[in-house]
Amino acid sequence: MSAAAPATDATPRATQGTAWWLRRSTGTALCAIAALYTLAPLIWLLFGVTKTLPELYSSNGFSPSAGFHVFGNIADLFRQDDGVFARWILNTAVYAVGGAAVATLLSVAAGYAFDKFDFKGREKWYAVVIAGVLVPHTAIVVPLYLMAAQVRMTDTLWSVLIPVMVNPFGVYLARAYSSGAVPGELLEAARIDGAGELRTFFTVGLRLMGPGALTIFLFQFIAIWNNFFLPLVMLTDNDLFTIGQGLFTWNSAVGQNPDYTRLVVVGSAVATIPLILLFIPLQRRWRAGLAEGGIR
Amino acid sequence: MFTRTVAALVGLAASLLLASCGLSDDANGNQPTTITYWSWVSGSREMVDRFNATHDDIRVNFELIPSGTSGGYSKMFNAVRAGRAPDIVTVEYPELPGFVTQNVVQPITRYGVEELAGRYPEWTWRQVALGGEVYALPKDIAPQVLFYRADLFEEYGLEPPATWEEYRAEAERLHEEHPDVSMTTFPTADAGLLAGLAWQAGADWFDTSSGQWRVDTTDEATRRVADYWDSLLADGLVTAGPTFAEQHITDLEAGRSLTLIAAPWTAANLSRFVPDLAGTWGVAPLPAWDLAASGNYGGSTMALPVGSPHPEEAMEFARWVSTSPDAIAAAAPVSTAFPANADLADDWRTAVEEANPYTHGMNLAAVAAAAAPTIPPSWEWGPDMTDGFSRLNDETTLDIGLPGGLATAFRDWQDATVDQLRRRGYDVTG
Repeated sequence: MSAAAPATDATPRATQGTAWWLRRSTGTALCAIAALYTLAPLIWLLFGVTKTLPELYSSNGFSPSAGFHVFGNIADLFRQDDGVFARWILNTAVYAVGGAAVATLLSVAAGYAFDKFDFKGREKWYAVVIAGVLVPHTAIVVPLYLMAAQVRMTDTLWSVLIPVMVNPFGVYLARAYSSGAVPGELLEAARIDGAGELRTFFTVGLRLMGPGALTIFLFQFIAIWNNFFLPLVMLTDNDLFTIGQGLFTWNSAVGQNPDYTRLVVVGSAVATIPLILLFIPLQRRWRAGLAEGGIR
Repeated sequence: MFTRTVAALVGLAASLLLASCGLSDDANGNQPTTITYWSWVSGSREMVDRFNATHDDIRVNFELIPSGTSGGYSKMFNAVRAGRAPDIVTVEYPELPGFVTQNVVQPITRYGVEELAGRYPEWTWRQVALGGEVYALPKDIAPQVLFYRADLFEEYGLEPPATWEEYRAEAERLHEEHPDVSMTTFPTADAGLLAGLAWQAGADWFDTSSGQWRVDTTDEATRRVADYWDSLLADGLVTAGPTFAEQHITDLEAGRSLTLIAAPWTAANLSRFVPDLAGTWGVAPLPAWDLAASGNYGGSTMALPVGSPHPEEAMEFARWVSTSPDAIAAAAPVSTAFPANADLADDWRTAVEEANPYTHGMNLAAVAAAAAPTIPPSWEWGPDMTDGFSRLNDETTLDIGLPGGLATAFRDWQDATVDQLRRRGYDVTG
């Protein structure tokens, strides 16, 4: 608005009307800085993929390589240590897709139940779930390890998968979403038509909660994809590693083999690809789901 | 539509879960015994592959773990405590006494390893034989040597210095004639290298001969090392900075950093960091103080963790790693770590020269073999060197470059170490 006014005489008044930090140009500048801050590491990573190991150390991080080594680098990445990187991608996908799918189903079911059913101590139980949101994930990893060790489950796929199958924050989102998206009348109608509660949930409730479920799924998917501490503590079998844990292990061995530096850079770039691929098609729906959950 | 997506995802997840049950399947046949080996040392995987190819009765399953000080050692500690120890692990010399006192590794004397004692340098055997028991088989050692740019030394009319005095004199001349070139980049955070230098000078940072732990990093030998480098740094004769980081690599490439206090394993690292400098390096003995001596700067052992499920088979594998020319040949393409076993020195020279052209013309094998037995045998390590090295790195990062910085760092480190050990209940004399 101040931009539209004649600069000479209107300036003092416009300045009085809106503080400088509220003006649009300031906002744009702040957003640009934030965008730069967020994107700079990614740009560095993209340039890094094109480089050889000596170039990673001796050339400017934001300039491309003298040659083009992307394909060679990626081939080396998938060849290193008998091609274990491909295995790590597969593992991470299994943990993320499996864990997020189960977590989503459980969250949606629980949120729906909290919203639609009136049972004794409902709000107390709900408070317990919400308290779960407040406990940091890292705080429960070591107790989980000790419990897993007691049942001889450490260093198995399940030791990483089972703990990520529950997500209290997802229950919270699902409850909020259910109360906005699932009209009680519709459920009444389904019941009158003779559907049992389970059938009502799966045919009516779950369908209406689709966008909310997607939000929860993506949240949990990203959380598991980036989860580092849990697998680090639980797993030692290289064939069960996640990408993050595998790259960490390589990175710690650069003193022994400096070439791991290059592979870690390339591996980090490759690891972001599945997330980007997942987000581009789904971001619109995700935003919708977030907004609807948030209004309520 | 969304339900279909979700249903499809759930279905996909379910099938992945089912498929993954097959992934962790432990197809444990009944013929060969499978043992698990934890290591991060370069060349281990290649050695394991060779062992498996040449042995039918034992199959080694190699697990790459984070390097010891980056979490590998705590992983071992936790695994032993949780009763899930692997069969055999890599432990570096500095960590071994700590693992012995904490009951993480067990004695291996009963597997008849003492007959091998004569094959290793005296100091090496004393690093693994602690309190009357042998606790590990030495795999590789790292006698300190001096890597120098032979091409530039010739161009500038320098000779590989035999003593530290000559090293300083040449650095002075270099500084005068070529002010933009530095004799070396002195590492600001490399506790292992500093320990090696003090070791060479005849220091004994830790000593248990009195029955108590004694910590001494302010003795005459260490002070001599500290004062020497402090004065070189103060006079601008050497650059200070993190080694094998951006600035250092750039300086190496540009010929602005002429020497490296290093060990045989450094050759493999250089071949990756600065491949273009192939053929420009020479290797000379580490400059001496009074008598020809060297320090040790790395190396690793094969140790048997407490609770190792197959100790016999694990020891057979460890013995093979420590004594077989085949193991040396397998690791040569990726690693230039020098074998602890002196009988393997010739095999090592042949294998490395054949597999790694970068080392051609360096004279690395002869210099390393001559340096290995000159390392003083009395050096001992403290009960927690993971913590100790990381604190020494912190001290030197703060102090190197300040007047008397290295001397201050050693003094502060000694105080902190004594304090730390006392708090943990060790009997320590200052």
